[in-house]
Amino acid sequence: MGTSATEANLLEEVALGPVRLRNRLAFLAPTPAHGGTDDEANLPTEELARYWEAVAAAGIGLIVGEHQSVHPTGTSHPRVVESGPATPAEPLIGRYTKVTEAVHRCEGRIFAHLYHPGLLANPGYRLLPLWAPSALRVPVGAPVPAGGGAIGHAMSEAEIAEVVAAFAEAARRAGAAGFDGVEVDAASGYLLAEFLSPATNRRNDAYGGGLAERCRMVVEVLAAVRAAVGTELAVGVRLGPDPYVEGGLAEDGLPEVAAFLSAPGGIDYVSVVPGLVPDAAAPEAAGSQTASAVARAAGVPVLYSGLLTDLSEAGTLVAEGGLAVLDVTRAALADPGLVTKLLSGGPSFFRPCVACNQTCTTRASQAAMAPASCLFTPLPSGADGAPNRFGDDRSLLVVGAGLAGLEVARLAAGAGFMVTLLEAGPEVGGQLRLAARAPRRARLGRAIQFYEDQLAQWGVEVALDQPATVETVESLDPDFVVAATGCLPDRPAWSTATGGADERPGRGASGLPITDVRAVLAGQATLGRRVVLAVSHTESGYVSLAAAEFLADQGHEVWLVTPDFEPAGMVDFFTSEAAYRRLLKKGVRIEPTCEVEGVTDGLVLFSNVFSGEAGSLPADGLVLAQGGVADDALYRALRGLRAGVLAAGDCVAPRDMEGAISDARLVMAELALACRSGETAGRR
Amino acid sequence: MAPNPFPNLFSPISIGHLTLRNRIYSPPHAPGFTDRFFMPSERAIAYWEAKAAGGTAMVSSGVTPVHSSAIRVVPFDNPRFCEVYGSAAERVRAHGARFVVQLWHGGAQVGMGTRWAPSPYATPSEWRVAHAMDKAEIKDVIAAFGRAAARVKEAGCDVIEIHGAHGYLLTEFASALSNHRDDEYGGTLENRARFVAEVIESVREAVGSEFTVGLRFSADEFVDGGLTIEESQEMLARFSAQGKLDYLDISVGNYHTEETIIAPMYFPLGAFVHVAAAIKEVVSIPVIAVGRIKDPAQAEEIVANGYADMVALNRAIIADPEFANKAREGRSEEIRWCLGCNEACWGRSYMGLAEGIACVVNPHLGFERETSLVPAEHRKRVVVVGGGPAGLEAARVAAERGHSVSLFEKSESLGGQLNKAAKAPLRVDLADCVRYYSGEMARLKVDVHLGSEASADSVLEAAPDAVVIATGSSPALPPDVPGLESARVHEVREVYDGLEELGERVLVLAGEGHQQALSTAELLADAGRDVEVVSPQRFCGHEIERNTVVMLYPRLLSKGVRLTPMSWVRRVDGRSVTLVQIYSGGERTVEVDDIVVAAGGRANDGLAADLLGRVPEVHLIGDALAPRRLLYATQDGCRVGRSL
Repeated sequence: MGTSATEANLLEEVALGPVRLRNRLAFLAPTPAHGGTDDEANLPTEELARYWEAVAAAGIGLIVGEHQSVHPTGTSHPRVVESGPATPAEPLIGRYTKVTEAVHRCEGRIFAHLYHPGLLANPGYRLLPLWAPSALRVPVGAPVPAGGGAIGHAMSEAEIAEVVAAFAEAARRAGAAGFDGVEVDAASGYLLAEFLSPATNRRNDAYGGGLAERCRMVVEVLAAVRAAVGTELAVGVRLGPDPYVEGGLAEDGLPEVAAFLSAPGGIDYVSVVPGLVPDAAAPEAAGSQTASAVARAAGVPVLYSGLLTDLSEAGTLVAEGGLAVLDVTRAALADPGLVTKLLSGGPSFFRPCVACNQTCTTRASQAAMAPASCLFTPLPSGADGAPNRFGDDRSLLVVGAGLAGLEVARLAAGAGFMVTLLEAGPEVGGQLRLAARAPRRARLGRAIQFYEDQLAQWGVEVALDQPATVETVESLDPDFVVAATGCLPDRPAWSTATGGADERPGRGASGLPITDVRAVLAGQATLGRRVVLAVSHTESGYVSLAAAEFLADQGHEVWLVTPDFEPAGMVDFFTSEAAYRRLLKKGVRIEPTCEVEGVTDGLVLFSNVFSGEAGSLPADGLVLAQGGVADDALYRALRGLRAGVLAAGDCVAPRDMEGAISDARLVMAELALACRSGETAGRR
Repeated sequence: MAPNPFPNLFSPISIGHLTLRNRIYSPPHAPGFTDRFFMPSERAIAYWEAKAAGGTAMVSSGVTPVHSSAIRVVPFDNPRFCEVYGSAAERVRAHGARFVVQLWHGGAQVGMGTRWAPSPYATPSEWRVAHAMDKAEIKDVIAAFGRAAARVKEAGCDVIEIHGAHGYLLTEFASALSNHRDDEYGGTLENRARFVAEVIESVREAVGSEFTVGLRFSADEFVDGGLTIEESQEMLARFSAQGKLDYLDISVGNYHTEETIIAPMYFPLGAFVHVAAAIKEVVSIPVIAVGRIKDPAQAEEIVANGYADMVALNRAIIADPEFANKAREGRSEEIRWCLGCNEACWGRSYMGLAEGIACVVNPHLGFERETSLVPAEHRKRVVVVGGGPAGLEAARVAAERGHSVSLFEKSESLGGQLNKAAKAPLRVDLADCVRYYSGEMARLKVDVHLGSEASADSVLEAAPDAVVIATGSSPALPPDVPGLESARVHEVREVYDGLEELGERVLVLAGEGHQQALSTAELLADAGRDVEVVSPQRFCGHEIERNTVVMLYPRLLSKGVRLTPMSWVRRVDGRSVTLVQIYSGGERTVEVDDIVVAAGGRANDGLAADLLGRVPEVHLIGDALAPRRLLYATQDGCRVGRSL
């Protein structure tokens, strides 16, 4: 614990051109969605100013702000700010001035992030065509955006000049609004990246062909931006590889591009970002080698953005990797106290980012469009500060130490309750512990470690191997009870199996071993070589992919049968893309739009949900991934007997991690109300 | 003045204590024009107002959640509720119509956060298992309906419709499919009806006996174990006899059978009128029918034959808010027909429409005020090149505004790609769009030249003040398919006129995720071909809205079409095509006679380049600007027509 020598260099001052940063830690807005709605469409809001103020107040050295669209053909949603000439300069500049002033008050620095999404724009907002270097659609292998990915309109030279001028005007306004720098986004498959990439740029005029031609538009934008902002602002360019695109701009092509763009001397730094948002399976510091190669080639400081969830080794990226600034967005979202803890140098409990990609990436970029937050921490503010201790030493019993129970126990103890946590099994963590056993997802287990540390710090009494009954609760007679008893694996009617994480797998009437995903991940399933994974509609989380990969890694031949068009539909695009690649390369076969209906001698029977056509697969084992049934018997029994009984997590209704955490917060709110109103607790 | 062609449809009717001017209802639906507090915006009110101005007798709001389990901030508790909804009601009434507010709880199907339902039940499309409500929660929701009703009356709205249809909370209690309770709210039909009855009671209590209250009900869920017509007859007969309801709005379906709720063009017209008729047999209050009712003659027949007392026309009025006026005034042929495509209304999320619904044939939708047609200041000579939907819409709007318009179409018919698309199986409704525009060209006296391919010279000869280039797109093959030229390759559009040229085994390359590849695959299968569709997406037809795709898939599969997603072509060598699985890299070679490519085409913008600088205004629209969907053709056409 404590700040190591390697961590110390993260806290050094560093210069990006004319701008001095108080440390090497950067926060890059993961999503564009910070504008307002209603009459604030496409403008920065008060909410945005508060968001960035909180990040700056938490000690982050550099904020690279939300995507600003520079041209109407690039504006995809009312919550995306549009800052080019088609927008009146006021109130835009006035509102952004409030943002930059708030950041500067907290001694932070903020750069304006300018972009045009090109083929990745959503044409359904402005109903304009997509602008692109060539009349192609998003290439095979790249994410298909909302609105489907239409064929782009090949820009004329006049239209290119129009967009160059739009970048310049947006930059000028950023300078007028007090931004410290401008980052031009030529990454992520956006318009400028489409010009750079041979996969999307098939022009044979001055803007397409060889390296110099493909770089020309970016060079013109950078020059125009520099002319617009002068020398007091930092100007940088964001680069990244094409994701999975054949013939596209690969990681090893980036140093050459960076060298070319920095040769004219007008840029102060380069940001290097990944092709796709890294997920939990990505290695720590993914892409940092490329970033280091870019640093060597470009001769200007490099901002590295990839996956940094554990800062204990991050210092070597600076010392040995030659990287100037590190993107710690996700680590900071997970733990807003990050910088304070690094600065204090004392023992610290970092709430870890586990790269689950849920609220920072998925929800934020869906139609609801919200600013990025962390599942575990709703806002980038010091949420772990001294809580209101309304509990006042009242006793609170939490039954079940899965995610919901752990979060309730942690928050309640912090709020002054005397907390006892009963867990029927031998370990805390519930389904999260199983989830962490999925191949490449061990990071999820770090959340459990965090909770264990927190429970110890707050003095929560934890009793393992303690199933709770009505009698147990009555004998403890706490002031409040929170049932967090989770859910049981659901079973289809035709299955005669028993089997859960702690039970032996059963056999169907056919003699075919039948078990469920929890038993598989717990390592307690005994299955023959060929395994069919029967997924239900209600199981659209990652667990089916997890079990499939787990079994494939053990050498099983796996068929994943799902009645939906695709399995794991709730999982974010980036996590599922990466998982699909691994699973399919490992030989897992996916049978979509099919529902398993039973087993017979060595055969798993299924039918196509659309055609009704029956099929069968020879198998040596069947694994059920059929969602959950709320395990709420204790809760309902207690509700009839006592006051002050609440519930959280899957026992309310089986959902996801976010459901567990938000339930825990709802429970805290209800407890606060009950304590303030002096509600009688205990037996009715 | 001609006699009223639809005397039954346009006879008044009493519903409760209200008299409605005709039998046409714009039923509840949520256009999505709400602010972040789920309150209707000015766009919503203008939207409802346009329907009232268009002659509709009764106009409903969309789903309005009554309880905080369904939504974080309940609109009825919003301090602005009376002001906003009262204003909507006034503006609707000012045009002679009545305004309905629909009270709703989404149950297991829709809701923010944890879903509530009678039992731990999950449904398409999100499959979130609901929390089984206890008695206290049930009472709470019933009371919330009552409170909401009181607010509606306070705001001065005319009618309350309780949403008991489409698989939401009330349907979930009524239906044995979703209700597995063993207390007094579950089990027997009477028990299952209890929650609905108590909600009706709570609403009636709150508003008194003189306020018009109706119930929407799914009288057939079309699911094994769900509500049947017989059960619904029994339940609704009871409600009718209890005397607390003034009318019934009879619909069908739940989210398992969502395609019956917003029925795509694959359903015949009036597909569910028989359900309303069955209910009308057993109740004594007025009954409304809904579902693929789009023609005034059809609607007249429904009322005249006593199948229902009123007809609900949702999409028909979305496509043309003036539907009722045009029908009543004997101008039915001027109606802009709903196609039943669902693309921009129900399917709007697939099109990325961030701010609410749109309509592929009605570019004014949602912008009724901003896009009302203002007469042109100066009459211009406008030449439109291209008689597809983009050119037709531009010509229509320009002519409507007073410009002198000529239109040149290369082929012998108006309609462009729509003519081909309408030949795909069960997609003949698309031709209604062409029918409408042909009528408009005649009505507006646009000078139409068919069989006339325009050139720069011929355009210049016409001495236009403005030229609109709507020359569409040409068939084009996707780049990066090595060896494609060695095979017999056809672009998808070419197939519609040249089926007989194709051999037995056909590979369809779905370079786009919408209808072209799959509709064409069906056409080919109907013509006896052995068809495989290859798509790089996670599943074929990724962009087709759900109600349409769940009907298309069974037909495709039963016709033997093979669907191969997550794949593309590595190389072609004459009849041998090597496919690659995108994720695993695995390859498979197939032998085919012909390859049909659906990849979008190439913009025909050459004429625009030729004319630039030689005429005062040149506008490039539709596929000629960039090959896209029908919505963009009509949007572009309207925008340009208004700008001239």
